[in-house]
Amino acid sequence: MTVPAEPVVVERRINARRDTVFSYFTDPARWLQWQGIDAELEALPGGRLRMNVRGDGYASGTFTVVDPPHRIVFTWGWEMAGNPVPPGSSTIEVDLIDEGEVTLVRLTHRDLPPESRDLHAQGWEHYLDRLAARAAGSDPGRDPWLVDNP
Amino acid sequence: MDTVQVIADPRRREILRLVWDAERPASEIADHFDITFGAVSQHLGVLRRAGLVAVRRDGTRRFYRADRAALRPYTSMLRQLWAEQLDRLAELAEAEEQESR
Repeated sequence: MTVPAEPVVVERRINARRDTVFSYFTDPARWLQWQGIDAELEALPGGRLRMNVRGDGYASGTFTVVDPPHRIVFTWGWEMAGNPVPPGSSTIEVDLIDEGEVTLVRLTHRDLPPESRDLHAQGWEHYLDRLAARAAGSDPGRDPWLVDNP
Repeated sequence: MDTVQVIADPRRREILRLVWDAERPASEIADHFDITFGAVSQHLGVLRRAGLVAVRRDGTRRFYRADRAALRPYTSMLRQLWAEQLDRLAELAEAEEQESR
């Protein structure tokens, strides 16, 4: 049994109110504006989440906490055979902290195996930049991480 | 292993960067790392089996280069990851420089 890596923690201050930011984690159409090309999500405790993140495979998980507009927790893993982070194996906590006109988003990704930590850290840096742009009202453009021909 | 899993490893990404523009022998690639030749060889094997590098044999030597066509869908992801890797290296180098003053 591998010892999990230190959690990945990524923070962004977003120029939007908490309930606006929260909706980008609960409404599939909004989520797809910053990450993924195909998503099903049922943002209720026990609800499923499934998303083609870059066009080359699905990530899926289950919501465990949905507490608008403060906190959302879901499990996360990749469905591709042999991936070191299978569905259910890692957990993502998103905390939204009210700072007046600005919302601090703190995303904590726990229980990743050490070899997968680096890429997930860089991935969340990349995707929270896109979320910050979108939730503050601008267009983050096409995701450069999307694969062109899966 | 899927492609993203292969490039999730920072050493394999560094190998791809080294052989992106030029074909290089395994020994030269190994010289860039502080890990054993065997460990570098294993990474090269993973990259080769995933079809991300091409190998040419010349006598006993093996030359590697990135298969850019196979990597094309991942090019912008790789470039961003390389840039961040270089930024981190630059920070480390600067910190070292300051300490030695």
